[in-house]
Amino acid sequence: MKGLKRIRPSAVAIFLVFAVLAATFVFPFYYMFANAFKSTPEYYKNDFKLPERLDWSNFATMISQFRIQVNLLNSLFISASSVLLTALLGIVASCVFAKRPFRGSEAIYLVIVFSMFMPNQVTIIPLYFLYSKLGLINTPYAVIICYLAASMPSTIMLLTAYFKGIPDEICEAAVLDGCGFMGIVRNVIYPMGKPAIAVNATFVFLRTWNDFLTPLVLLTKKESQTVVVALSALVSRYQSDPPYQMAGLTIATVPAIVMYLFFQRYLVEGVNAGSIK
Amino acid sequence: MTDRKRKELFISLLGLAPVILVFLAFRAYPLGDVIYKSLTNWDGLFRQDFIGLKNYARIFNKSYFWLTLGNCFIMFINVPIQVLVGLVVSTLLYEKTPGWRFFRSLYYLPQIVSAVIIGYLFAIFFSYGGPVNAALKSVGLQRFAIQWLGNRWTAIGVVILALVWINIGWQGVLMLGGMSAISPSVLEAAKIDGANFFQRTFYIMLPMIGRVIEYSFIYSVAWTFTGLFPFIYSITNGGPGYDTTTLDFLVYEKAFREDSALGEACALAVILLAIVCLLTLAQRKISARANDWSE
Repeated sequence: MKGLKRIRPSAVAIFLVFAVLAATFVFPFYYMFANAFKSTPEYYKNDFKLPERLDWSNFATMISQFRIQVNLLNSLFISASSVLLTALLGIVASCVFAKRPFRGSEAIYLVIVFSMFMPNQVTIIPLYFLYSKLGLINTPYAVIICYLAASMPSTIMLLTAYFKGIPDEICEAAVLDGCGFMGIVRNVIYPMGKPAIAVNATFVFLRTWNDFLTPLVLLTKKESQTVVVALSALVSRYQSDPPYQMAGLTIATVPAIVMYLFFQRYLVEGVNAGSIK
Repeated sequence: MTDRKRKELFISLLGLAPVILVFLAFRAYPLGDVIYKSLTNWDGLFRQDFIGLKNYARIFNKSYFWLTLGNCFIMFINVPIQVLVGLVVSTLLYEKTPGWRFFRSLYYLPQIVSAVIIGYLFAIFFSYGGPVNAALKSVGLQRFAIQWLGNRWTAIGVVILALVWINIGWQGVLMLGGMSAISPSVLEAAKIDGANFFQRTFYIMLPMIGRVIEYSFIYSVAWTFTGLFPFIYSITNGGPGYDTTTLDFLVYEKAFREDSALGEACALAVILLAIVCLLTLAQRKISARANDWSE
């Protein structure tokens, strides 16, 4: 260590405030994880303590009886497809808006971006009946299409702004090298726009993984549900067995936390790019 | 128009086509449909006669609608609280004390967990036999160990607490971003002129991130109208009665839990949309105001 820096008293005070606030953030998650590994009697004896030993039986039951892995796979399929499709359509469209504007493209852009503020509660009733006519209720595709439509406005806003910052000269050079429109997208926009694309993908993944209303309405059968919806049914059914509830909540939370650990940087950037929540 | 130009335009349109198609089929069509059906006595099956504004008249005559709308406005209290806490947190984070990155990440954590799961955690914590009451009893405050979710005002309090708690991190990150955009030389100059920490905060920092604060304020207000569904669903289920029901929860309740009155549910959805649109227009107006210091 290069010469111990003098520690200011104000820094200590701030640190203490942060630590107290931090405790309120750590405790609920500690409580959830700790109790997920307890048996029901142990929970009722003391729910604040760490478990005496790691008892995985709640998770085992969750897999063997509740078949949570089916719902995890559903969630993964829905979120991954939403991320890929949103990126694919979003990149191409944003490239048009940013690099190939034509008369009227600005108006299309504004209409799409403005629809961001339309709450899902508004469209879900007609969509439910549309999907049941098409036989798409209880299929992942119904939810994926909803997510694609709902993610488009913020995606296009973020990517168009970012792509506008890519110098036109590079695109022109690519044209001289014989690139068509898709060539520019593939060889210039995609590699140079990667940071914004990654920010957007992270947000779309988390938003779709955690979303509740859309899959709750469109997926009514247990085996087609996402993990969050399946667990909401489990939590209300097992009121008398808190450790089992906690194990369920843990299973739904861990993937999101893992995502967070890997892509945290992008989230901070995304929040500051505005409008994304 | 030259051939090359025409071809370019064709390709551009081709690039936009899928997005426009998805938009028309899954955003514009349902929007038009919900507005049209709000003017009918639709029951989800065959009955669908035009009845004008009768659904709206019926809704405005129901006491639970006004109770619900009132709840939404009560829930607004969460906005100034979360903005204020967010401001304090970000001002302190800006000082970059050891470990600030860790704290920032930790406070943001609830944002990446599903709102329903956060809601269930709150429901379990504030249940009668839950940890909050256990803690109160252990320090001798038995009389405060109550049915938190069985009473309108305490239940609303728990929901507001949840809303503030999950948003502290978001507010903090957002405002810290605004503060980081201020040129450090401005603060240096103030320091040299002898401004202390509080003067720097109140006379320089806050006015300069004014736009960020406005943005977060109005965004959170709109969110309070549309984003509460998972919290209400998991914490109180709208109860007791309609005591904690918000407008977005009511739309779901009427459309998917009660049979038949779908026309009315559509009318409720349109009312919700109208409110959100008004709030969004206000947001546009305010963010159009040019006081961007970060440039």
